[in-house]
Amino acid sequence: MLLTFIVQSVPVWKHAGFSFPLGKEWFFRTALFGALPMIYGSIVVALIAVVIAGPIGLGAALFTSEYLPSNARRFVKTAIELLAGIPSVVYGLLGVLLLRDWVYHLLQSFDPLSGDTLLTAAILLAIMILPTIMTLADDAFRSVPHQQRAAARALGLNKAEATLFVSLPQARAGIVAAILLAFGRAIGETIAVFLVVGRQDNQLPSSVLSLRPLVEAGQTITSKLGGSETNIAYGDPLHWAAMVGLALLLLLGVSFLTWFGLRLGERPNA
Amino acid sequence: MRKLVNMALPALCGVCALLALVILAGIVAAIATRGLPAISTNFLLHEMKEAGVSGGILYNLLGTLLLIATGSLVAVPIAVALALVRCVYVTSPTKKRVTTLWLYLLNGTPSILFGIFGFILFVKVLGWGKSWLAGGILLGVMMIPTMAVALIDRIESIPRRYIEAAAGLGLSQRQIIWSVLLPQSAGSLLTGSFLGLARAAGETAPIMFTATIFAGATLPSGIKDSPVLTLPYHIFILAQDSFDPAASSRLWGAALVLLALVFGLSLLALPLRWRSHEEARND
Amino acid sequence: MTNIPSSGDYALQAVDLSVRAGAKRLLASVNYNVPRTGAHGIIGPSGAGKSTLLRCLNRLIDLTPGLEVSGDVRFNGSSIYHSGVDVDAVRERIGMLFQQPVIFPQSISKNVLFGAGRLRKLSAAAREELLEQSLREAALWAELKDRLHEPAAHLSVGQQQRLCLARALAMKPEVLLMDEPTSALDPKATAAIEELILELSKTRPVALVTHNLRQAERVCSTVFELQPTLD
Repeated sequence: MLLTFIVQSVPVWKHAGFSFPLGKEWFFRTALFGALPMIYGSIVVALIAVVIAGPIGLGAALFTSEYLPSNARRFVKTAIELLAGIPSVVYGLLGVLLLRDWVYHLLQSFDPLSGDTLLTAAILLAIMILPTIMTLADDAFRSVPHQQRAAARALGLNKAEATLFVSLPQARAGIVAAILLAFGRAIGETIAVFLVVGRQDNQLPSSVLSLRPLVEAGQTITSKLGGSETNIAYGDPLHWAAMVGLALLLLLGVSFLTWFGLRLGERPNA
Repeated sequence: MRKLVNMALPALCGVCALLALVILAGIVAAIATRGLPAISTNFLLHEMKEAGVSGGILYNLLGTLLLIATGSLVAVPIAVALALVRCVYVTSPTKKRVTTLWLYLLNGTPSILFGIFGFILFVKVLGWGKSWLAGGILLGVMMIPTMAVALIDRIESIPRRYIEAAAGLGLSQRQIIWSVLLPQSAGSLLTGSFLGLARAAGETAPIMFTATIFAGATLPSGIKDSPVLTLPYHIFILAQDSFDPAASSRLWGAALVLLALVFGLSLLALPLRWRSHEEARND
Repeated sequence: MTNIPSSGDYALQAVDLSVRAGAKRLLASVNYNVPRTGAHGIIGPSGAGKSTLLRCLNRLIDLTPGLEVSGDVRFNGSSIYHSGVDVDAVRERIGMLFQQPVIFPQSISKNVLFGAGRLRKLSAAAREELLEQSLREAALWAELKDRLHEPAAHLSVGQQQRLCLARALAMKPEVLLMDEPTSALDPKATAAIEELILELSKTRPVALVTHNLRQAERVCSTVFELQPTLD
C-alpha cells in the first residue's frame, strides 16, 4: 500500500515540492495544492479529542483497575469493549442529529454559521476514543505487579498513595502508549469526522493558538479524502496525485504514531 | 490531608468511570429509543424505496452480510497461515517482533486508506468498477490482524508440555500443528473471527469507493460492476442530507439494526474472551 | 485512634484467629503471641498458613479479596481489627519484609525513604540522617554510601533484601515481620540477613516465618509451630 501511494503521488511532489504539505491553500481547479490546513485540521481535532478523553479515560481506568472488585471490573470492561465497537457511521449519525445542535447552542456567543465545526468533530472523536484509552490504560495499570503495591501498603501508605506513587508511575509507559494509539485512531477516523466537521477548505488561522477555527468549519485530511473530490480527481493526474499525496501523508503519520506507541508500550515496567 | 486525598481519589475516578459509562450507554439508548419504532418484519424484509423514505433495508442488510462473509473467507486462511508461520516456522525473536509490529500497523491503518487503495487497485487497475468482491477482499484484509493476533496469543499460551508430549510421541511438525495447535486454538479463531466480523460490519470508508452504492442494486451478479447496498453506507448517505422526517425514523432503525449486528457478533465472542481473561489472570 | 496503655507482655497477639477463603479454612483458631524482644520463629509445613498468619498481624491480608477473617489481633494490647482503626497508621508501626525483595524502580536513596519520606515531615538534613542511619542498621552504608543515586535495581538480590530492610527500618517500626526473607538468597546473603536479625531483635521483636528449621535454631529464641488446618 505504501508503495502504491508513493508512486501515485509522485506528480504532485514534482509539481509542488515542499509546498504541498506546507502550502496553505487548496484550490484544485487552479492546480493549487497546499495541504497545511488539512494537516492542521487533523491534528487539532485529534489533539483536542485526546485532551478531553485522556483524563476521563485515565480516571476511569484507574477506578476500574484499582478500586473495583474483579467481578464488577470484568463487567465494566466488557461493556466498554463492546461499546468500543460501535461503528463510526453511527457516531457520525449521532453527531449530525444531536451533537451538532448542541454545539451550535453552546457557541452562540461566537456567532457560528452552523453546528459543523472542528470543535464538534473533536468532541465526537473524544467520545469515540474514550473506550480505547480506558481499556489500554486499565491494562497498563493491571500490569504493575501486585507485590509493588503490597510493599507500599506495608510501609503504611494508604490506598491513594500507593496508587499515585506506585501504580501510576510504573504504568506510565503503557499510558503514554495508550494515548498515542488513541491519537492515531483519532487522526485516522474518517466517517464521523466527515459528517460534522464542515468540510471547508483553507481555514488555516493566522496564529497557531487562535480559537477561531474551533468555532468554524474546517477540513481534515480524512474528511477531504472521504469526500467527492476523490472521485472527481481521478480524471486529472495531478489532482489525483495530490489526493494520493494526502493519503500518503496520513499513512506515514499514523504508522509512525502506531509504531512509536508500540515501542513505548513494549518497554519493561522497571 | 492524606485522608482527604485517600477519599477524594476513588471518588474522582469513580466519577470519570461513571461519566464514561453514561456517555456510552446513552449513545446506545439514544439509538435504541429512536430506532425501535421503525423496526418491524416489513422493515427488515423489504427493499428500500424512495431513497429511504419508505420501504425497508433488506438488500442493505444482505449486502453487508455478503461482504463480511466474503471477508472472513479471505481472512481466515491468511490469518491462520500467518499465525502458524510466526509461531512455528519463524524462530528469531526479531522476526517475530517485526511480524507483530506489522500486524499492529495494519490494524491501525485508517480505513479510508484501505478505501483509496482499493479504489486504485480494484476499480481502476483491475477494472472491476464497483464490485462486491473488492469490498469483501478489503474487509477481509482489515480483519486479518484481529484474527491473527487472537490466534497468536492463544498458540503462544498453549502449555509447552502439550507440544513436548506430542513431539515425544514422535509426531512431525505438521502433525503437531494439526493435532495440537489447531484444535487448541479453534476457540480463539472463533473469537477473533467474530470480533473481526463485528468490526468489518460497521466499516464505511473501505467500501464507499469500491463496493457499495446507495440505490439501485439488489443482489450482485458476477464480479465486475456489481456493487451492493450496505447498511453503513446507507446510513452515511442519509445522514448527510437534510432529509424528510419520515425517513428519519427509518434511518435510526437502520442504525439500530447495524448496531445490533455489531453487538451481536461481539457478544458471540464474549464467553471465550472471559475464559482467556481468566487464564491470563491465573498466570 | 486512642492508645490504651499496654497491659500485655506482648507486642502482638493473635487471639482465636481464623481465616477462610470461601469454604476452605486457611487458619483455624490460632493463638499466637509475640513477646517484646527477640526473634520468634513461625514454622510448619507448606500450606499451613504461616504467611497468612503473618499478614494478619499487620492486616496486609486485607489486600487479598475474598477472605473472611474472624478473631482478633492485638497490637500493644489494643485490637487492630476493631472498626475505626486506622490501618495505615498501624502498618507504619509494623515493618515487613517479603520473600522476594520488592524494589521500587528508583534510586537507592529514594527506595529507602519511600515510606518515611512521604509519611514523616522531615527537613532535608533529617532525611539525610535517616537515610544513613537506616542503611547502617541494615549493614549497607559502607557498601552503598557512594552509590546512593544509582538505581536500586542494580543491586544484587542479597543487597536488595537488605535495602528493603533499611526501608522498613526507616519507619522506625516497633515490630518487624519477616516472611521467609532468605529463601531467595544464597548462603552468604542469608548469613548476612540472619546476623542482622539477631542484632535487631535485641531491641524489638521480630516475627520470622521460615521453612528452614536450622535457621530457626540459629536465630530465634522461641518457635511457634503452625499445623495445617484439617477441614
